[in-house]
Parts: sequence; structure tokens; C-alpha cells
Amino acid sequence: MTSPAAAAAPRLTTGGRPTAIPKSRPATPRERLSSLTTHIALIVFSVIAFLPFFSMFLVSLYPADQPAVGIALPRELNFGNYARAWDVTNFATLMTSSAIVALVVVPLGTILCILTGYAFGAMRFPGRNLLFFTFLFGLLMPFEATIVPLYYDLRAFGLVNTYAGLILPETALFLSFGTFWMRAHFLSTPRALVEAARIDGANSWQTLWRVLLPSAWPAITTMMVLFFIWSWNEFLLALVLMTDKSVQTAPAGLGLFIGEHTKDSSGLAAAAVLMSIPCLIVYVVLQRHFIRGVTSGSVKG
Amino acid sequence: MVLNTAVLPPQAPASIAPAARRRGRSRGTAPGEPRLVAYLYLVPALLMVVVFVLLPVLHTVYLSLVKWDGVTAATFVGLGNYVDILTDPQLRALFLHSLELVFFFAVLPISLGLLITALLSRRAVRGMTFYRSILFLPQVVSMVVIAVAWQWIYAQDGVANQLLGLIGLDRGIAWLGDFTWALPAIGIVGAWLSTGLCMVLFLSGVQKIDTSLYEAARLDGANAWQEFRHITLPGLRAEIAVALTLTVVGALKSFDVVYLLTKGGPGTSTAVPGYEIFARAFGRGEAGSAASLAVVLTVIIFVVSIAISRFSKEPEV
Amino acid sequence: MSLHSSRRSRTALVLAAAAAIALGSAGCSALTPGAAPGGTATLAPATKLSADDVTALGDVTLRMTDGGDAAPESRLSQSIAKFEAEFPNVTVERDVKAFADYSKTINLVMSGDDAPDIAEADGAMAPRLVAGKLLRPLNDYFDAYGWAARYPSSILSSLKASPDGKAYGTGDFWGVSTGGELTGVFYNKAVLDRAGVDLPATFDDFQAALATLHDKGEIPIQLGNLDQWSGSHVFSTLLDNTADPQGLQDWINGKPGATFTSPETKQALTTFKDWFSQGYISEQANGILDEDAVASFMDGQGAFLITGTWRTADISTTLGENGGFMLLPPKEEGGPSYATGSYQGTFGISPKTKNADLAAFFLDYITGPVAASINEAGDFLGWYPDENSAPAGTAAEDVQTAWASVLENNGLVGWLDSASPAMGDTLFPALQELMAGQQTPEQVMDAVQKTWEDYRQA
Repeated sequence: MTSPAAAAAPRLTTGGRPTAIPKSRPATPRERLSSLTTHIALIVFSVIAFLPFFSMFLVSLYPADQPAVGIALPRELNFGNYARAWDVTNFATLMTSSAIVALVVVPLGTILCILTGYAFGAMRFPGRNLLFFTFLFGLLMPFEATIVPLYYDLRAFGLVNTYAGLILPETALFLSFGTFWMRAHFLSTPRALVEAARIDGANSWQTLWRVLLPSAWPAITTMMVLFFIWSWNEFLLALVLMTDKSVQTAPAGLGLFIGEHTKDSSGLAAAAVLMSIPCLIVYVVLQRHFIRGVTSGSVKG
Repeated sequence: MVLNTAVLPPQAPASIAPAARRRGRSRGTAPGEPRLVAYLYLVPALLMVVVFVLLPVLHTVYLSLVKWDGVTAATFVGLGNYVDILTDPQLRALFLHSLELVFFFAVLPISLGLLITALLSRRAVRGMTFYRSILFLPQVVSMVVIAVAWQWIYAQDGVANQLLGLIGLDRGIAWLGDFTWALPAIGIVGAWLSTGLCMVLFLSGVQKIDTSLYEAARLDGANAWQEFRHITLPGLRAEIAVALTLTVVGALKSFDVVYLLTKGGPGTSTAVPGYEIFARAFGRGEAGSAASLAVVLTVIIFVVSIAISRFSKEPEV
Repeated sequence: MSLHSSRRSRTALVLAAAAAIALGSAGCSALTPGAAPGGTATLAPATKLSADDVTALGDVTLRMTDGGDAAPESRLSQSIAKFEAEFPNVTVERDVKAFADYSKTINLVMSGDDAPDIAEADGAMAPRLVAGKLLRPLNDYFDAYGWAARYPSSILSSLKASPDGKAYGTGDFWGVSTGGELTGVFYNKAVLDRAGVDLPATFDDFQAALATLHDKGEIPIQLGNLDQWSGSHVFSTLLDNTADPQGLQDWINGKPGATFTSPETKQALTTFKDWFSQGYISEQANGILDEDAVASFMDGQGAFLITGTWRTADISTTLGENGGFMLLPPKEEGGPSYATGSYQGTFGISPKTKNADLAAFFLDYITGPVAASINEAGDFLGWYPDENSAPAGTAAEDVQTAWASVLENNGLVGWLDSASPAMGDTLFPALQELMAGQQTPEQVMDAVQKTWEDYRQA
């Protein structure tokens, strides 16, 4: 997500891939020591980043009478927690709702952001800056307050408790970021590419899809992964706008579990693990592209 | 917060736009060619942003001028809600809490990120992809899940005390219930969320700094600190600005981490503006005063983002 | 550039102004949808249906929402199932939310055009639902079904609210209740025996017992107050037995001139603070989840647990014969004890429903003797004491006894946070600050009274 920013404030020093590091020269002792320190530090921070998840995973396997106390191995493995969590929260329904929302939000948001990013990044037109700021607005405002008017506005459109009622505002919020991100990408595209296409007689639409898009995939993949994660984890909008059980999404369902079954810590942990699985799968499968995209994807200065 | 805001996509800074504009100007033209067809590309998205973001915002501004409980008829009170905010000493405490969170959400992670970056000898680190994936993990999981995990960690018999016990410091404190420690405890969750993000950012940023700068510095006999101070730090200015904006805005906006961990307690020691807005609007039926507080908070966030963008423009960090 | 940007910001201003005007002309009432003051909804006349009438209705769906227990074995789930079995043509669509989420969203839900037919409410939610005309006045159904005869007077008064929602005990009936709940003292006989402490019969004995337990290294009162509300039950139980119960109920009901400020209130606050600072209450109470504290109590940590009877089933089954329950001991042996408590499982009907008669019939069914008879765990405190039962020698049995005595003495005093919508947000943190020595009893008292007055003056 950061790369949008990094891209928008582009670095002029180098271009593209990390500068090749000379491998021929043997490492000096100072460098070896430093490399060791780096590894130790990275390992320490990785452990810290991972610890809460690890402890939660352990708890999700506890037998019913083992309290969630500190880090401790399960006395015996109890996979029944997962079955219980699945049943109690009616997870199949929750997951279906979440999936429906995410599977519309991600492509819809992606297509719209490609279009806006292209317009802002590769074209010049009056009111460009004002419009761009309009798009950025959603990134800065604290959302806790606008949700009250949003609820009434959506109700006026008859959208409360419908999938559209969650999908549309969610997409609109993500557009702020996505526009920002894709604009940064298209800004960094060599101008010559666009001009060449134009000389070949391509119109703007053809230029976008045939010439620019193929090289934009890393940036798009990253954005899609982020959209998926955000959509899947969205809590407050889902809580307020989807009050009907049949359309509730997974985080709201976990909220119900927290409210009702806090003393069932192993069941709660299992529910938490279950609801994280889709995001983890997407993240793990795409993480190579994703992390590269986040860190350098569109930083092409 | 940051990437993980369960509510919102990350606050990518508006402050960055001016930077891009500057760049365009320095080349003498805005990017791209003059084309009115651009409007067609913007229409669908703009429509959504106007309807689902801007109108609710204008609606919020309108609500900030009325007294309204959300169900009965509203009364117009003009700037009355704003006067109340300015004269309420308890609200000042909320903003001070935010300020403390800024240290944990922003200053600490950025410092740690820079420290790691400084340690890195600019050689490719074996297994970097693996480290990055792990460090980034907190951004992938729902805040609801994270809150549950940290609630256990901070419990009286939780991991935090277990670890402190290893060095003989377990005093049996239930961290989230302690007037002194609850806010720092929340801050540490925020630091945990953003440290990985900052590291990933800086570590990749530093890889892009021209190697010859370091070679030259070494030939000149620069020590590690001088290298860091004169090459690495300036080279990372853009990344630092991004990290700073994201994390500072995240701290100011923080809501879900407080809502899920302490509900502002004990007492009001962890109450922050974002949570207060929610509590007023949904708990107490004070939709008008909640809206005015939201407007004030939004203005503050704008001012801070602009300030950060100005700061990042300076040649020296 | 500067020329450019100033032109742009002018454009922005013009746009914003235009939008504001457009919004304004769209009608401000659309921006703050709400009942017009004094507006009256026309309601269809109420008819009491018979079982045959209901069967003759054909296929109907009733939609209800609540923040209760979704588990199939819960009383509400069972009563609904029984109803549906008896009237197969009626489908009940129930939407359950976690209580905290439910209370935050109920106004939004009920103000929608597709509001459910039936909604649960409590003393904190009812005022705004009533003021917003989101609950149908139930006077006609109270008459038709004779519901008033079920309830003791303090409960009956809290089921009525003034049209602006700011006072109880006057105005129309807004809800019908399934049963009651109250707070009192659960105890663990094993822990008392371990410390050689007899069950206290007076308040002084109780305090002496706390001291002894503390000296013996036991946790006298187990408390988890991270959620903030649980500590208020310990305090209100103390307060009900210190201050004038009728005065407190008047204050909660919003009777003009009532006040929280009194020497007795101060005394109760001081005692509460002293208990905590002397170590009679779990030292880390403010950082422990209520659920965890209850679990610790059932695990043998803590002699007393002052909480509500919604914990009865758990405690009674886990502690078995070691578990017990009593009201906070009175000042003088054999004197009356008071308890914080009120109705629970209370439901209102949406004025927008097309099935008001059926909704009333359904509510009469699930709040009536049928629900009371679903009582295997012995934790249910119904308005039909004959239907109440509990396993002998358990905390559950003690709870039933306490309930009967409170009903007889008219000894129930309502929840303090029902006094105004912001009361919980004022009182709960203030009590935590009192415990930590950051506020004096006077400051707590004044802040609470100010919140009460602010609400009534507005």
C-alpha cells in the first residue's frame, strides 16, 4: 500500500530493480558481523510479529478445560473446537456472505481504479487536481462518524441489509486508495510507450488495454490482494449496514461469538483462525508478487 | 490501524499529491496529454465517491450543526456543538491520549525500522522474502482477531507477564486495566502493527539507493553513523514521509483497537477522539455532537498530513 | 501556480456551497429523519386473537430481533420452537446480535421501513425507541391480555415511559417482559470453609468476613471489571442496601427533583472504594474480563462473586453443592435486603408492523407460563413463581428463594445506567477511577448527577 505513496513522491536517484550488489568482492569481517546482527534482529522482530498468531493457534487446539493462559502447548489436541465454532457462528453462511461481498468488491474496485488511475496518470484535463483531491478525501476522514449519515443515506436508497448496500460504500472507500495507487503506476509508465501506440492509431481505450495493462499486472495484483484483505476484514461497516443475519459477514459473526462465548476461549480462537484462513491463503499464494508490489511494485521513479 | 484498519483502507496521505505535482511542474508539464476523454474514465468511479463518500461527509457537516439523538426530530444549534467541544476540558485529554499514541504508532516503529535498516550492511539479506512475509503478517489479519490475541497476551496470567517473569519482572499486572499502563499497552499493539510495515518499506527503500554513494563514502573514510546520517537517511526521505503520514494519521484516527480492547477504560484513560465519536453517536444518541467532533478530527488530520508533506519537502530530514 | 491554486480553491468553495444548498433544499428533515414532536401514528385497533384465529391466518412470518442467547437450548429459542410447533403456519425469523452490538444498532434497525415486527429493548434502549415512536404503545394489549397483573409494581412502572422517553412510570406501556433478574452474592462454601468463615447474616458480619478471608489469603470478592459494567453491579448492590430504595428508583425513573447526591450514596461509594483498596476485591479487577472472573470464581478463586442471576446456571452446575447465593446481608439480622434488578427478555412491537395482533399473541405466548416452564437449569426468574423450580441444595435454589423474597418485599431497584442514555458512560469509568483513587466519592456523585440533569434539561 505504501508504494503508492512512494511512487507519488518518486525517487529520482535510480530506476526500477534494486541495484545489483557486487558479489565478486568477499565480505569483510565487519560486513559479516553486520549481516549476523541483521539476521538476529530480523528474527527477533519476526518472532514478535508472529507470536500472537501462534498463541492463538495453540489455544484453538486446547481441550475444553484448559484455560488460555500464557503460551502453553495443548494438553491434548482438540479439533472439535473448529467444528463447534463453525456450527455456533453459522460460519458457512457468514463465509458465503463475505465471499459474495469480496468477489464483487475486488473486481469492481479494480476496474474502476484502473480507469481512474489511467485518467489521472496519463492524461491532462481541466480540474484534474481538484478531482484527484476529491478521490483522496476518503483516505483521511475518520469513518466512525460518517457512518451514521451513511446509514440514513443508504436507507433512503433502500440499500440497507442488501449486499449492494455494503459493496458500494466499501468499493467507494477503496477507490480513494486504488486511484492513488494506479495513478502512481501510470505516472511511472514511459511516455514513449503511449506515444508509440498513438502513432499506431490506437485510441485511448486501446492504449490502456493493449499497451499499458500488460505491464501493470504487478501493481494490479497487489491492489487486488489489498482490496480482498480489507473487504474480508471490514468490521464497522458490516456491523452497522448489515443488521440482517442472512447477509452478515465473517467479522460481524466473530463479534457475535465474542459477545456470547468469551469463556469458550478455544472456540473463540478456532473461530478467529477460521475467519483468517481465506486472507492467509490469498496472502501466502500471492505474497511474492504482493510484497514486491507493496515495496517496489510501482516505485519506478 | 494503518493497513489493517478494519474500517477503512489505509490513510494514504493526501500530502503526497503535492509532491507529484511538484515533480510534474519541474518538468514543465503535467503528465500525459490533454484529453477530455479523461472525464469518461472518471465518471463511474466519481459517481460512487460522490454518493458514498462525499455526500455522507457533507451530511456529517450538516449534522454537526444540529442537536439530534438519531430518532426524534432535530434542533438546529448552529455552531453550538463546536463551542461545546472547545470548552470541554475532558476532550482535551482525549487528544492528549492520541498524542501519546502517535509516539507508539509512529515514532517507535519508524525508529525501529530505521535502526534495522542502519544495521543492514546493504548486502542482499538471504531469506529477505521470508522475513518480509512474516513482518507484514499483522497487516493481513482482521483487527477483531488481533484484539482477541492481545487481550490474552495482556491478561494477568498472559504471555506478557509470562515473558516478564523470565526476567523476574512479573508483578501480576492486568495491563489493560491499569490506569498507567493501559494506554501504552494499546500503543504497543499499534507499534506491533506498524513496525513490520515500516521495516518492509525502509528495507526495500534502502536497496534502491545508489551503491556508488556508499562506495564513495567509504573511500572518504566515513563511519557507519556518517553513512547512515548522510546517505541512508536522506535516501529514505520519501519512505519516511509515507510511513510517518500513515502511522500518524492512523494514531489520530484510531478507533477499532480501542473499541475492541478497552472501550476507553479503565476510567477514561484510553479514550481517544475516534472512540468518543462512536460512543456519542451510537451509545448516547448524540449524533450532532459526534458529527462536530468528527469534523474537528478530520480538520486536524488534514493539517497534520499537510505539515508532514511540508516537512518531507525539506532537503534535510 | 498560486493563481492556479487559488482559482481551484475558489472552484472547490463554489462546488461545496452549491452542494450544501442542494442538500438544504432537499429538506433538512430528510437529513435527520426522526419523529416530529407531538406527532401521532394511527394504529389499527387491537384484537386479542385466539389460537384458532392464529391457525386460520395461513402462512405468516413474524420477524424479531434481540440481543439474547442464540443457542438452541436457550429459553427464548425453546419457546419460539414450541410456538412454531404449535402453530406451524407461523414462521418466526429471529435475528440475534451480540448484546453490545445490538444496543448500538437497534435505533437504526427500528427506524427503517423494513423494521422487524418485534424487538427486544431494555431500560437503556427504551427511552429513545419510545421518543422516536419506534415502539407501538401496548396499553390496548395490556388490557386485552391482562398483562399488568403479572408484574410487581416497580417492574410495571418501568415498562411505562413518557412520550419523550425521559421518564418511566408515566405514559404508555412499551414492552412486555418474560422474566426478571437481580444481582446478589454468589458464594463458594468450600472457600468459606477453608478460611473458617461462617455465612454472614448481617452487613457487618459480611464486612468482617471479607477481612478474615483477606487475612487468610483468599480473594474475598472476585471481580472482573475490564468490561466496565460489572463493577457497577457490586456498587449498586451496596447502594441499594445503603440509600433509600424508593428514592433511587425515582431517580432512575427520572422523577423531577430526584437526586443521586446524598450522604448515603457517598457512604456506599466510600465502602466500595475501601473494599478495593483494602484488597477485598480482586486486585487487578479493572484488567480482568467479567467472563474470566466468573471462571476463576468457579475454579475456587474467590469466596464471593457479586453479579447477576444470568450467571446462575453456570455457577450452579459447576460448583454444585458448594455453590450458594444470597442477597447482600441486611444491616440488621432478618431485615429486608434489596437487590439491583429488573425485567429481562422484554419485547416491544414495531408501529410499522402489519401483524400487530399476531405479534401480541406471540409475545403473550413466549412471555407467559410456557416460557416459565422451560426451566431445567433453574436460573429463570419468572413472574409465575409456581412454575419456577431448581435443583435442591444448589445456588439455583437459593436464587429462586431470593427472587421470591424480593418480589414479596418489593425489593427490586432498577439498573443505575437506565437513568439516562449517557449514564453508563459516566458512571462506569467514574467507578474505575474511584477504585484507582483518581476521583473522590463526591466527584463521582456530582458527575453522575450532572449527567442526569443534563439529559433532563436538554
